[in-house]
Amino acid sequence: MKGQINALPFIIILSIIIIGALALFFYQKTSEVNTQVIGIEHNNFLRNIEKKITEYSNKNKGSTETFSFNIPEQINLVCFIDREGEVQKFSNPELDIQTNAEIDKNIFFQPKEFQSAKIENFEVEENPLCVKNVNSKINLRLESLGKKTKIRAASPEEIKQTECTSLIYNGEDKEKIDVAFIGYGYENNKKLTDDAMIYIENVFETIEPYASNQNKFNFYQINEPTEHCELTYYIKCNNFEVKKQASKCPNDFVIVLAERNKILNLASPIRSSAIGNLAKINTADNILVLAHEFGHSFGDLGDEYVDDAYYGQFNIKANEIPNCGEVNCKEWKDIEGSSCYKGCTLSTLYRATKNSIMNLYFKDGGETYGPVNEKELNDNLRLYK
Amino acid sequence: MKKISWFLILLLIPLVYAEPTSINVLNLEYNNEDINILEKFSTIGYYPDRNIQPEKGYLLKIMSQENTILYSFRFLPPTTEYLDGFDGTYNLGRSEISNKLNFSLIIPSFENEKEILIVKEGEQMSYDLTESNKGKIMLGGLLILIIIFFFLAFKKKKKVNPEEKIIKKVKEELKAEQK
Repeated sequence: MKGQINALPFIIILSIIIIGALALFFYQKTSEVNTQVIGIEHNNFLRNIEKKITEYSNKNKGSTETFSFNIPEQINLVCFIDREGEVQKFSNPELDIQTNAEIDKNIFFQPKEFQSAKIENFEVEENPLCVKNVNSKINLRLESLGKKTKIRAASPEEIKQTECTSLIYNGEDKEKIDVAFIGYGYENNKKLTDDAMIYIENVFETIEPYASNQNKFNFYQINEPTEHCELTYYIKCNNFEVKKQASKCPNDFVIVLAERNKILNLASPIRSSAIGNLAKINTADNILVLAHEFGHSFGDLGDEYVDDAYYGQFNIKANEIPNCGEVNCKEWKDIEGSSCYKGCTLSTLYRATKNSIMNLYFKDGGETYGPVNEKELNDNLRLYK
Repeated sequence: MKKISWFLILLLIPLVYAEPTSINVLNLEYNNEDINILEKFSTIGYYPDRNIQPEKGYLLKIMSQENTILYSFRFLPPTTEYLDGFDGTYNLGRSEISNKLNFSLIIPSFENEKEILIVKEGEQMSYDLTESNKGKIMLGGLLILIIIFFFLAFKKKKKVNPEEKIIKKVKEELKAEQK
């Protein structure tokens, strides 16, 4: 009797172990069979597409037809790359890694666990062309080009939108200031591109010290607009969610462009803002607001207008704000063109110019940063090539 | 608020540059000088080159399994949000300075990373475990709980009621007498 009582827990434990081991064994066996089936489907797809491309390359030029190719349901995306053509960089970070690692391949799958392959004699309409899996199939339109076959997605909806577009590229990300624009409230990417280009031309290519250093900047556009902002009295964004999206492009600095109607904004003005390396711009505001916010982000410059009621609550010292000084402005006495005006964030601090971009950018004299701010910005610009 | 220190920048230049790679997007909470990692999102993408760093602040270090530094940089939590606007007549500019806020950093991810350390310079080191270590601890805790459960079950079975003990003894005595 005593022996029976003592043995019971061990019997239970042993039973659990045996059941667990059996479950694990069957799970592994099932997984192995599934993996084999997926592998066969993957190989079949590669064989079929190669056969069709060869067939179409030998057909009369201009012959066109749409085909559905079966693929394993686990594949999300099939990407075709024409290695002889110009491949769009930054379109998909995961694909960039795959294409750089396997330079002899031109068909890639996501997830990357599916082996990439090489097939001859094709061109793509967009390079890379990434087609989505729709019900375990990809639908392609093949067109004979004589000795080659052109591949298109059967419908535009089946093309995976590129995640990042390079707007202006001046060189390697590591050496340049990478600015990524992301839209909020935009109906289409074309409008976002147009607006981003207006800011680039009117701020980064016009205002000093950026204009004479414009080759130190790369500009990108995140193609998926953000839904993680809201308009209160300012543009309030979920920093974490916006950064997750921004990570698809090189992103030393991120600028959210919130599209807003000018008339609506006059009735109910929304403030633009900057926090850390994230600036949020109300497109209905004066274009120089971007220069002002970027001055905060890039140069860590403070506001040169006075707000004693708010800033007076904090123990702010002149040495904490690069563009605000003590009485006599000895901090920038050697900088040519600088002066000394009372009022800079606090009425007890001093600024170098009567007005500047960091002050009332929407009034006369607010079109330039002024010599002290330019020096601060230049110190940071010198860290880039 | 911050000045560039060339020497410190040279020391802290990231080991890996901004090529698409495995990254972690951190959701961080800043609360009266304490920083906690609330969430970590792993993906493929880009992280900032961080050529511009403050002279003083917090150090974020990614440590390897062998306790070497894989990547580090200095940063300041963005405690000031600058708000700016113009309504046609008045400047609407103002700021919001906060001691409690959430912010986010994008950092590289390494295969052999063990933990992410966030150190306030000049103060005691505070750290957060990476998800993988958290997982190991949770698994270990679960195993300990199972062992405790079986130990208690075993003890309970072993514990015999005193009354039952007397009855058993009497029965044994009666059996002996009958023999």
